[in-house]
Amino acid sequence: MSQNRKFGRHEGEARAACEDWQPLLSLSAAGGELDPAEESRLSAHLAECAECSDDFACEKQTLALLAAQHGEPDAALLAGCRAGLQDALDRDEDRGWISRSLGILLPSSWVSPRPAWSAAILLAIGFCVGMLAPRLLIHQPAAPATAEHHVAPRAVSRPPVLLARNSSSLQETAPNQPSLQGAGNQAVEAASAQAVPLPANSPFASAPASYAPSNPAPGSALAAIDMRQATVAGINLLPSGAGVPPEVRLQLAAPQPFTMQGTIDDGNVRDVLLYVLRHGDLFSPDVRLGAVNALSPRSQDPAVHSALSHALRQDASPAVRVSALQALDSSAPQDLVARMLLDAMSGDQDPGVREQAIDTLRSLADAGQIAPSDHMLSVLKDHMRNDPDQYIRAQSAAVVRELVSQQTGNQ
Amino acid sequence: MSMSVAIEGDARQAALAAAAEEQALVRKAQSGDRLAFDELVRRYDRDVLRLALNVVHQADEARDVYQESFLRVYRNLHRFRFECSFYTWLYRIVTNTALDHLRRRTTRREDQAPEFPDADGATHDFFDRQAEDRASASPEKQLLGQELNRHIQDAMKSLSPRERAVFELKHYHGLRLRAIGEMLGTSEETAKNSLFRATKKLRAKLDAIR
Repeated sequence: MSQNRKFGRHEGEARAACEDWQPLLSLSAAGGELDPAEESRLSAHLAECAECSDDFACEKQTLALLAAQHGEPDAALLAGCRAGLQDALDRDEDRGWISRSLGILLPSSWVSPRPAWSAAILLAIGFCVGMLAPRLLIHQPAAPATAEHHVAPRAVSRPPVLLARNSSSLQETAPNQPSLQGAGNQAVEAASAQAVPLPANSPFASAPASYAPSNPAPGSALAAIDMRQATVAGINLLPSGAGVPPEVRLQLAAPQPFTMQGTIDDGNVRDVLLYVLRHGDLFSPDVRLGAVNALSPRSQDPAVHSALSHALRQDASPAVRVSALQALDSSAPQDLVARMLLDAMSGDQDPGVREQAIDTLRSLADAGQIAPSDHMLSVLKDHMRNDPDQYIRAQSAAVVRELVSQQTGNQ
Repeated sequence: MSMSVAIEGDARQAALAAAAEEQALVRKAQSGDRLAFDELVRRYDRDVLRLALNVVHQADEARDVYQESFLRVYRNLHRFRFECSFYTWLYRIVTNTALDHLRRRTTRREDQAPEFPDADGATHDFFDRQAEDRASASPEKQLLGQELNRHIQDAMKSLSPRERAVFELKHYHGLRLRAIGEMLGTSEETAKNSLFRATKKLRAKLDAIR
């Protein structure tokens, strides 16, 4: 069914919109992974989209086929395993002679747990440390004045992003405008002033203003939310119709928590998402992953591309790096993609990321979409021989084979 | 309505009783009762072997994974604190042992399906054997079953070990992706990505024969 339905990378926006549903569809078929709201959203989509409905049926058929063929392990093998385990356990018990010998040398009363004695000893140690430690500390030589900054609490550098918003949109939100909900009237009034002032003792008060919003909406009555006082607590993507980027719902935890909703074409939403990726260490992996997924439809935008590349190189979470890789794969020129994939293969310790990179390289190589270079072949041959992951070694060999045959064909 | 509520109540009671009984068995094994440990092995070893086979894809290695996993459980049982169910803890050990084995493999040959010597000396792989067991009544069915299994075997080979592990744990052991992520030392999102990729690959391979 799939051969005549396969689309090229840039074909068919409707298909692209349907692809947004694929993860949900797959999780629903797997069972037990979607919450009721997601299930009902998916059901509504399946009711009106024949293609996704067909896909869903195919997915279930494939899983049913695999389940039907999934047999029990061979009885002889199981019996052999059981016998081998019993022998191994017997040997393991025999090796316990060391502990038994120690038992002869040490009276069992020495090693058996004695809660009362243990508590008394701990109390005595605590008493001694409590008595001696202050005296030892008092007799420490005074630290030189210049060392003061070494012991001062380290201020967290948290660059601000000021989000412009029109206070009128809070009361009547247009569909394509980012909306701010949940703050209540008091919050709306508070936010209609200029930037929220930072308290004098805020650790972020001295942070440099290194990040500026892309759409300051000049001339309007602006309110500003200071990300130095807010953090993103959650990002939800709500699939929308064909050709329309998904709605993004940002839950911001601030002194007055609120929700911001809009598409990634809304400047404020986009700014927050870019901020999350550029300052990934301030946010949880789930939030960073949400930001990557939300921004991926606009990965050709230079700012988005730069933020995704940053996440690919710097993010601590393998899941975020894999998603950034997938997002960039569909937008960047092929030689750049190949270079990033090779970087990911060489520089990433996580086998999941390296597996994704080699999978993508293989699909590009099979489609003849990358030009082999000496450097590329050298890196791939290195992985073919030395990568600790057997799957990556096998796939690297397959890509090298494909690229060499293409080279030979061209000559 | 009231009957279904009663049935649900009975099922819940039965599940609670089973959990309590297993907890008592684990405690006995923790106190050094070898018979209790053997009983735990019997309860789960079929699933453990199946999981090992489907991750490492070689019978000899699956046997090693089986043995190493249960030895680890035996030696570390005193560390089990009932913070999760016993089988979640056990599967975590098996999955990590299997992935360790794959990492340690020094040979670079492609994955092969496990092979078993037959009475006449011929070898049949794990999947062929399943077909024989299931379709023994009809030669045509047997042939079709073997053909289908060969396709499935090829399709499973296209998955990475991690994807195989996630797919196996989700679809054949019924674990939640959050638990699978914890077992593999990664996030739920990564497990979700692996499952999605695995399903996509399998569908691409198997669509032609459906």
